[in-house]
Amino acid sequence: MKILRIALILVLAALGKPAVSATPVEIAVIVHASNPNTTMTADDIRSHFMKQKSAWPNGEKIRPVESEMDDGARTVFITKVLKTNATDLERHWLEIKYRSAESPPKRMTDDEGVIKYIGAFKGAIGFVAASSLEKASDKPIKVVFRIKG
Amino acid sequence: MNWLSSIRFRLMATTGLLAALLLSVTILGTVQFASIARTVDRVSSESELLIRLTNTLDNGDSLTKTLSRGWADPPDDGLQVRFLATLTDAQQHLQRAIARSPQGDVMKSLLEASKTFSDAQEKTTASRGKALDEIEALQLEEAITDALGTLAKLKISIGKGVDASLVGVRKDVRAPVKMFWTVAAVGLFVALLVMAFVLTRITTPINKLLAGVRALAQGERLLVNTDAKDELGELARSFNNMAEQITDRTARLRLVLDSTGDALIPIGMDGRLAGACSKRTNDWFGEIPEGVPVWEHLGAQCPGFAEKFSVAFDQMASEIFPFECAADLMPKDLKIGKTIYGLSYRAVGSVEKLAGVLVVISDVTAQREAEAQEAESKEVFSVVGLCFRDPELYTGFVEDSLRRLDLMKQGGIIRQQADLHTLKGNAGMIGFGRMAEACHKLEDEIAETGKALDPSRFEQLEEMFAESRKRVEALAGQSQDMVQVQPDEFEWLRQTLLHRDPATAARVSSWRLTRAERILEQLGGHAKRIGERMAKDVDVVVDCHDIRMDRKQFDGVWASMVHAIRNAVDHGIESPEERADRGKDRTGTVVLRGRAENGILRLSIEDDGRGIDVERLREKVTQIHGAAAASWSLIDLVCARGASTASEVTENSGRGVGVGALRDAVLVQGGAMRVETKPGSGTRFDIELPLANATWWQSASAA
Repeated sequence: MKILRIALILVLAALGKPAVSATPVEIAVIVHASNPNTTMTADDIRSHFMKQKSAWPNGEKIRPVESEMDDGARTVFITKVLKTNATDLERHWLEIKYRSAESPPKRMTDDEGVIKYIGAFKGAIGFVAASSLEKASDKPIKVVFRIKG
Repeated sequence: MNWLSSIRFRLMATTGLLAALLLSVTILGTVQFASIARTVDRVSSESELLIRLTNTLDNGDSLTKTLSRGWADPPDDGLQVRFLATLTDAQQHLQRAIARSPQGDVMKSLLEASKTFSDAQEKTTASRGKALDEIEALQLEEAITDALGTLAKLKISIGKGVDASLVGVRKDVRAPVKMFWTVAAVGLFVALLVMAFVLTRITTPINKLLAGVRALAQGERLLVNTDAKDELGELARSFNNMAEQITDRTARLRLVLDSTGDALIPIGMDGRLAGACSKRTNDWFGEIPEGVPVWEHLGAQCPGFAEKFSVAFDQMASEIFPFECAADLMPKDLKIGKTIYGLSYRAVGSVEKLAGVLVVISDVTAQREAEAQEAESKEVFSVVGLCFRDPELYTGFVEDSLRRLDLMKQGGIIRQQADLHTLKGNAGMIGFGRMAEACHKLEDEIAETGKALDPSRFEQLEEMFAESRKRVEALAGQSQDMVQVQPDEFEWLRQTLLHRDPATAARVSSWRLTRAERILEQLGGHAKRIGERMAKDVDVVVDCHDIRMDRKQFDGVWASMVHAIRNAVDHGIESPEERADRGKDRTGTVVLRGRAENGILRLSIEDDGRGIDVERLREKVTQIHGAAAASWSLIDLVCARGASTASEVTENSGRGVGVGALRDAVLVQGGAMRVETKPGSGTRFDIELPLANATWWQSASAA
């Protein structure tokens, strides 16, 4: 299973790498391995990531995280999952900060950082390019959603 | 008066109402503002917490940035300590805020924040002095971020609370202000209504009273209609009473003014008429016009009066002298034609401030004449007395005066002055006061003019002297011929004659006795006066022998004879009309006789009147004294007590007492009394008195 997954990632990475700029990027929404959800819908993800809810059903605080790298994954995530655009999202975070003192998602330097973060916090949720998952097979994370941009 | 309807109670009630209103507004305001104050307290403590939290947040934010440095390899202990201190500080604030027990959401946020801070503190303390790997550092940072996040949430929560509190305060403030204005407006309206009611109840009767007072001042009577039961109602009723009394009093005063025999003229200090005059004023002087000084009107016909009055009045009005002194200088007489008016003055107003003068004028013409006559009579009698005492002095004075009067007419000023002065002195000494006064006036005139008087000026003096002399001498004329004899001389004469000529001696002795004729004349004069009073024409005839006697001898008889004489005039003599009807002379006659015969004095009183109705008298006496009276003689009947045929008692007689008294007096002297009467022709009383023991004398011719 594990080998299969890694192989899949490798395949995907091999297939996708040259297509970063030209071919659609697949992104994966990941959560901490202990998260009770196995799959999530785009709406679920949006309500959790955008802190329209403050905690997971198990009471764990929702901790969204994203990468500082502005590659195609973010755009896909914003448009396809969050179904908004970057400007509106920015406005959303400002609004939420002033209304309920909730901070915007934690920003890590790259997908590796995102994966590290999600592995460290039980309530974390974030997205990475599906290709980044190849090196993270040992991390306590799980993919709950995939989409191609 | 009901206490509840009194003005005092109404005013007190109104004031009480206003006070209660003010008090309730104050109490409501105090309660409301106390709640506001509590809210403000809470807000202020929350605000304080807010400020502290903001500071902590700011500190925490800046520290978070240095987090990776503090726990790097090697770790920065100073930063770690500061971190921990910031967290501890924040936790302390939170604990303090929790202790103050803010309510609701804030409390929930506080507890959550405190929990996350405990977590952060725990984690920080656990990692103290260590260098952390990436994941550990991330976890520590996240714990601190969480803590700061709850703090930020708390801040928002408190901010919302403060906002809500402030909104509440605004509401709390608005409510009492609104209530205050509402209560004040309603209260003011009610108070104004009550005030207006009370004031109307006060002012309406006051206005009515004012109108009444004005009407009263104008001399009219206007009753104040009011049914008020308060003080003003009482006042109005008292006023009505007073107005009625004043009107009555004014009417009575008017009656007095119309009835008084004097002229009463009230004068104000400006000399103008100041009120109503008596009716007599208008009768005597005509209506006094207003606006001109009263004296000008009064003195129009009396030269010099107005001027004298005006000057003296000015002095009186200036009040320099006491009123009595000033009034003394005012004119006392006002002569208009032959009438002399006497003036007197009464102060009007208080002693301190003269408000006017009441001039009382009476017609004193008759009085002055009587006074003049009395003065003249006194003067004459006094001079007559002198004539009797010292006829020579009087004669000398007359001769000297006549001579001087003659000389004065011809003489110059020196002569006139000297003679007038001497004449004045002599006249005064003799008792011719008026003549002395006249001389004095002429003297004054000479002194004033410095010239001799015209001879004609002495004519009045001469006339006056002649008149006085005439009157004196008419009375004292006989005295000129009288011989004055001293008692010792008289006694010498009597003694001398006694031995030589006893009859002459007896006659001389009798000069000391009273003539009976004189006594009867006196009684006759009395009868005449009674006749005059009774409006009867009575002629009294005295027919008496030349008898002299000691008057005291029969004093009782003489005194009681008055009764018989009264009876004769009063009951005997008829009225002139009645006499005329009976064919008698209108003039009745009463004859008083006196005779001395055979040692008996016989007196009789006879009238030609209607006589005594004997039967009627007997009937009357029988009624009083019983059946025995039926056989009484006429004299007994006449003298019986209560006997009188007169149908009414007059001021002179009629009581049936007098004649009885006369008979008693006669009987005491051992005499007798008889009566004869002829109906329609007259009555005659005869009295006999024995002279045996009496001192008396009768001229030989009469005997």
